[in-house]
Amino acid sequence: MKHITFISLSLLFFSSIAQQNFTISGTIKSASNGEELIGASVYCKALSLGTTANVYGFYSLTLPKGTYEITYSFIGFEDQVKTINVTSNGQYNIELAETANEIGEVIVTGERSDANVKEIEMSVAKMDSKQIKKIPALLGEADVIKSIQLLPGVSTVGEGSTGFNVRGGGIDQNLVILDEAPVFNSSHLLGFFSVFNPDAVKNVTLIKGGIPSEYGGRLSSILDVRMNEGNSKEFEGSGGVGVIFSRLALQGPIKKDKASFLIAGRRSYADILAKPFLRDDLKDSKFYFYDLTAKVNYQINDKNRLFLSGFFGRDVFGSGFFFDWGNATSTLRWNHIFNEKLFLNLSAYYSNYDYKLGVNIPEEPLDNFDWNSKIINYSIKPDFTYFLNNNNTLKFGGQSIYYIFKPADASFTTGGDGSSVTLPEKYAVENAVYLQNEQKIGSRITLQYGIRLSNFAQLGKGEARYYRDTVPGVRKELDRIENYDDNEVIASYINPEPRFSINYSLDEVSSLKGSYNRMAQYLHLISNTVASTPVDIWLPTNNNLKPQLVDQVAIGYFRNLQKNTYETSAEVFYKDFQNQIDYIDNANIFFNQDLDADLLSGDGRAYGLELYVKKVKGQLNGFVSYTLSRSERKVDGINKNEWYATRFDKTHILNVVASYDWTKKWSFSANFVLSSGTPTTFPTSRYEVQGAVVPHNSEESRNNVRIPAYHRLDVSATLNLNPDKTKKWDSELVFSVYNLYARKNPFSIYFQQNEDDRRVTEAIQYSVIGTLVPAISYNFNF
Amino acid sequence: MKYTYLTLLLLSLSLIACEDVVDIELQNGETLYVADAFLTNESTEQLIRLTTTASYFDNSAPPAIKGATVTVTGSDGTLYNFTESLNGYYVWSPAFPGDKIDSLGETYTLNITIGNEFFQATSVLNPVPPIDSIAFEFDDDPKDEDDEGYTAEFFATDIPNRADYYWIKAYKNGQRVGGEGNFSLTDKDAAFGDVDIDGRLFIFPLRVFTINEDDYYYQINDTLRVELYSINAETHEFLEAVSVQTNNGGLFATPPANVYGNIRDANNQPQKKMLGAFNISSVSKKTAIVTP
Repeated sequence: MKHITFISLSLLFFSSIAQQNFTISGTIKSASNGEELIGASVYCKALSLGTTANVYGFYSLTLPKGTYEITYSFIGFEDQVKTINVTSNGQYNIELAETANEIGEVIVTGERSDANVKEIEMSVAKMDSKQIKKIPALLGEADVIKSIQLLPGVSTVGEGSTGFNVRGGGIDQNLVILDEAPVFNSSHLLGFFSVFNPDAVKNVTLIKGGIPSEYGGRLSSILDVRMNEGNSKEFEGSGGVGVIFSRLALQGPIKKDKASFLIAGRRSYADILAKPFLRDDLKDSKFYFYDLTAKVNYQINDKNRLFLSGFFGRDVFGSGFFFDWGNATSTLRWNHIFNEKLFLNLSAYYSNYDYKLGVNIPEEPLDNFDWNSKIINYSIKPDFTYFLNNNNTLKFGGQSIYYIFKPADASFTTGGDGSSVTLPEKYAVENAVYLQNEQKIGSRITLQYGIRLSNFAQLGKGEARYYRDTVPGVRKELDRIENYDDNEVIASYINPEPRFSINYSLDEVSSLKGSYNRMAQYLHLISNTVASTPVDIWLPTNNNLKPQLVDQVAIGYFRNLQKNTYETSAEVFYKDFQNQIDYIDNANIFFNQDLDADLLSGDGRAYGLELYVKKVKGQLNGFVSYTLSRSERKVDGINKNEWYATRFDKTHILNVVASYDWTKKWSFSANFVLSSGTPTTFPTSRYEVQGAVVPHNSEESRNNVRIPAYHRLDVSATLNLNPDKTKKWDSELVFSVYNLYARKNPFSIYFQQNEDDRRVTEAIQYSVIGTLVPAISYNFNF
Repeated sequence: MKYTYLTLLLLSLSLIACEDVVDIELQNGETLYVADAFLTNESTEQLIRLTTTASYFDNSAPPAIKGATVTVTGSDGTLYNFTESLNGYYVWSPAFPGDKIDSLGETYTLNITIGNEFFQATSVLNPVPPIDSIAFEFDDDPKDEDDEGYTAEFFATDIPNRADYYWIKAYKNGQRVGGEGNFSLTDKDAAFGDVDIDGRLFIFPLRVFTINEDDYYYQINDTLRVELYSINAETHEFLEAVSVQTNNGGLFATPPANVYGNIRDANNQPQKKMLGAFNISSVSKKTAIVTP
């Protein structure tokens, strides 16, 4: 692997010397709002040469001296043909006009039409906000994460659970980044809504496999969320009023074509609506969530552009007791074009996730409690793209992240007697460098190969706790504590992460793709509950906890049908995980200094088949995804040391999403989801201790049975109130029903003593949403 | 404690969530021994119950273990014999008024012989602070206008300079508050989590929530008896785990897991064959009647 990389890299440096070539480059943007068109295509027909714009809309194409017709195109936009006399390197910035939106004509997918087959990437799914808004959603709120969960290979343990699982990976194994900055908790109200405001989101890319070298730090996926830049042509607003949220987004030029802004906010008002119905002691309840997204960008000149973006979201809940949590991120990005071949994006970000909880009851002034916990990180991340020639695109760069973990800062008073307690802060640094080349060989083969080298070190000031070995599954005893000074290395790990992808084009409409990637992860979410909670702790790798590793191989067949009307793919994958965390029985993960003593480490494996058919054009459009997969762990001390299915393992998952544009006024959408029940552990026996009837599994097995299957149908109808575009004020009404046939989908089955007759034991099926949920919302745009 | 907040948060969602009793078929498992051995330092009959596991949905009385030999020995060699009674109970009775198992700080060993199998467990008798007072306060902002009454609060202070765990039992007119099998346990030193705070007044939630029924107030002439038991750290862990495993529903359920106590077989293997736990407690009690 390393040899191939080296040889290819050496070869490509010689290949571009011979002919007299020049490079044309520039950015491709939308003429209507100035947004970059990510993935727009640039094609020279005479030479059958082409390229696509990168995530910043930048392209670079090298041509021999001569005059050519260059076609710029993007789905949903008019093609533009430009005659260019190539006698020197030149910058050509292009603006494409949107096509008039006829019924059922085209769906904007943010892609070139044959990208499914032609691009090197596999195991990748993209959605833009228009698509996300078409999918019927809970309480009518279009949701990024819920939409992602419909894609093949993605699952969740159930409604209300935070995050998502990708190809057998835990929810902490997804790197969720918003304009480059990581978002540690992407959920509002536990997992019912995600923190991303669809009005501010430009597009979303989920990478499940063949992960390029520029990404690292998580094992299973990258969810790259990019915000709109803000309309640089004219002032624009959009928003909506729904059952649970109200939304407003404003954007416009600060200086036409030079600088623009975007500001978008949402707030829930469940608390305001609920107020008249609350009992006296809950009258003062605070219960809401909000988020605010803002961005400005400034085009300094043709070669330099600055972006500043920020996100702030918070959930607040309380009535005497209070509990709130939220993320704040800010990113500063600088795009610099050194020349027609070398492009730089430099990002620096700050990200903070914190939660607070406590008690503060006005009638009890002598007793209160207040606790907060934080993870702060700062990072700098240069990414270079070097368009070496038309056959080779090099990417290289690195990232450095500094973490501060503040596990607990608590103060409390009992009977007027106060104290404060602080668990020691932890510090860590994560560094990575990478080099990658994307190479075309002939007309059929595209390769992408690279390596990422990552390093993680937990730094002082701090302590390392060491534990004695014991029988696996039993709490380890503390052996000794070693203390470290400021910036002294407590534990350090280094991992080479090779990455490789290939696209072999079978013909114009089909291709075979394969990929291998190794990923390393140095942060661990400590969560022992079925659904993760906002107060779960992130722990850095330390002297006891080893970095998580995964090796993944994926192979796929991709084919487009009927002139790219249908995109289809079939992929199989296999993943081998190392150093996966599990917990001893009845582990104590809350406010525990010796948490490491309750953790177990083991191996994991996941494999599966993913089928996907997407119809991208026509009055009826949508997709069908099917996943057949298995996700298992093997941990000494659990399940008699044998393989067991993870709590989020689902054998079959079928999702159908369809939209029908009936008339200019009416459109309809539906989605249907069906999946196998998740595994759980049922007891075999019971016994009594101190009046409690305790369930017991004498086989010592874990996840030995499955709860019943999950299925649900959601529908929505959209009435366009401005079908003929006669008014500037564009608006629509969306009527939706979630869980149309009111199925009580089981989230879990648990066992308890009957409330009235304590001797009787019973099995209880818990459904998070046990009924249908209708909603109406009004959206506008001006 | 952590989950109290989450439970509150979920209240708001409870309108759409639902819980139904369902019929489930379960496999049968190997039958294991169980000892329910919670003793106190009071001069009253002390009971140890020996039973076996049964099928999970078997609602009859647990099968008794007959013919076992049960003793408790103090570290000074004092022997307490437990004689077999009905339904798996083994009983020690005071030999004279005031006779009790009561040497503070002493380690007691439970010995159980069943046929040719021999099990042991140890427990230290820890001290318990007195309950200083119980107060009733009329709630002038009731949850429900038809249900008025008093809220109770008790006061006790943690014993300083040691790590203590307590079990609070409350009886309203003789009925256990929260029902049998529900445990009100304190975190270390009646404070919060693993926080190193020692020798203070019990924290507010313990003083109030452990002795009031969720939906009912105390009324004039109601009697409240609060009992405070000292327990060992490992007993705390055991009862906490039992509590989790018997109330393991909702979004934040933890993986169902077996609970093992401190009883080991004589070869000192990890506890797998005999479930349950052995603990000896000091007790303090206080009774109060609601008066206008």
